[in-house]
Amino acid sequence: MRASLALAWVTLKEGFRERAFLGIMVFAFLLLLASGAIADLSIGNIIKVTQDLGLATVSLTALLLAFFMGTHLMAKDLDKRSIYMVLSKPIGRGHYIFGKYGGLATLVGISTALVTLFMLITTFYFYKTARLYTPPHVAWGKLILASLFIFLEASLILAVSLFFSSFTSSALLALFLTLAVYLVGQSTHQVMDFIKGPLGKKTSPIVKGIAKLAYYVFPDLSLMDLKSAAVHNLPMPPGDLIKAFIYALAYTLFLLIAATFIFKKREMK
Amino acid sequence: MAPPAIEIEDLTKHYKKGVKKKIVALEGLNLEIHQGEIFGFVGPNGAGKSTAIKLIMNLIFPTRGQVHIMGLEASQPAARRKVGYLPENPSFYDHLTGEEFLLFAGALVGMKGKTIKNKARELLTLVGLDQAKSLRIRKYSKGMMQRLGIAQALMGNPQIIIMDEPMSGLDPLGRTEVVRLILTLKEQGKTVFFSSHILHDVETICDRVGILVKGHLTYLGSLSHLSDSPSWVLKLEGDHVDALQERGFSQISRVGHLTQVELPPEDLWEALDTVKGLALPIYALEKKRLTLEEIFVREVQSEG
Repeated sequence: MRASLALAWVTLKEGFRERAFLGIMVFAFLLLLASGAIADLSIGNIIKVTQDLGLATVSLTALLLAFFMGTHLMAKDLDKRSIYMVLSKPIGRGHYIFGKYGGLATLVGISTALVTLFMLITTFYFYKTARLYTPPHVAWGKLILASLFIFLEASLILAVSLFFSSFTSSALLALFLTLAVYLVGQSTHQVMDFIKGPLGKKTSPIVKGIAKLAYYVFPDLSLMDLKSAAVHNLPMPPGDLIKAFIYALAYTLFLLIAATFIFKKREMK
Repeated sequence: MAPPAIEIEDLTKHYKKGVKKKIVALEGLNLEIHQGEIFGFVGPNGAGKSTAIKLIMNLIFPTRGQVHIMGLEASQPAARRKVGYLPENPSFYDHLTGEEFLLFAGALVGMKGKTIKNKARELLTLVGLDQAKSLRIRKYSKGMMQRLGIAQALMGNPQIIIMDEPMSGLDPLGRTEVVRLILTLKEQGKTVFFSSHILHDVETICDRVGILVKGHLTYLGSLSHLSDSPSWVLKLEGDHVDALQERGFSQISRVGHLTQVELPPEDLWEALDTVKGLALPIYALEKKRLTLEEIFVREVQSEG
């Protein structure tokens, strides 16, 4: 545990000192600053557009960090062989995976929190200064909840990236595979809804089988997407939220255990 | 009886190349490293030295055979508590400072609180990096990296230190520093196992050496045993080359102010009688010792 915490701390520091991290954060803040000007173009519902853009920025930041930092930092350890020193110490390989994940998830968590805070500030500013139209209510709590679930989704993606990094040394390949999982995970729910719907009756059984398999194997990321509900102030049933939370946690844990299992058998040539 | 520091039995590592071909990186290595000794592992490039060390450190896994560290199976994390390891061409988390890195290494070996900080400072002083402790590792020179690598290997006070090419890339001063450090570790009762290309250093400090050629251990023993030759060397003061040549001696050479004659054992007494008869001033009579380099070349050549 102590070793994992130490590794998490070193990973967090490494992440903060990466140029890619700074680049992503600067990009996020610029995007949020520009959101007012972009929202102005929407003629009318500036606040809604600001929230939409704000949550999209939070999501983009968290996911970019999960994609790039997850694959890059572990590949760097393997490529530069700094992992030799870590694994020569009296720790299990699982400690390495969980420590690395802990550091990266904290990095994504802190970044998501910062960008969310900035998003709330800009939304508040436009809410107070809006001239043409002001909605009666901004669901501040739901915006924060949506950000929390964005973090949850990014944490799961981070686990996917570590899973792939556990058996490939190529950061690019791990990134590509993680991206593929993300894209499939974004759409499986919709595909399942389509199959279950009236048009699904005409779909061939083979396609249906593949869709079902993808739905059960790949993470259902739409469960963690609360952006639209937050912006439109739609109800968020606590049961659904708890289900999504447990689902993300269990999937992440499963991926990390699988990554540990693979990594234990990996040779450090 | 105390267990050997490292016990290696039939350690073998094959790599697959393509479908049918296999590369033998190490074949049937049997070796016992005694507690408190300095053991040098020498061999040409690709001989299997780093493979053997990585197998000991459980970084790669054997095709066959096993390794025990102080009686514990090497694959157990507890076994690695007994060992400090310096990899070849070490690369560390270069965004950290030297001190931060040692604190991290200490945390990985389970050290806590003030002990970890005190040990880090003590080791930074030992390896001569106390002035550079707040400098980011990416600004360290090769020699500084090597010394930091030794310091991190010593965090947690392990009984065995394993170093892969600790002298590679160092200037003579840096090498002397590392040699001094290794001797200090021996004085502290630690076991040091290291591989090196710098045969002179191995010869100077090792109690025993192992020569590895093409994955096979071709020579193992103490240096005095390894380097003994049946021949004798008779050293005379002054220039007596002509006088000795007239008496039929062949292997004569001049070294500084001395004349040296190499003698097979059967010619020794006759030679001494001749020297006595000519009243030549004897400086020394020594057993001829092969240098490690000569032994190394002999072993490599005999393996083809």
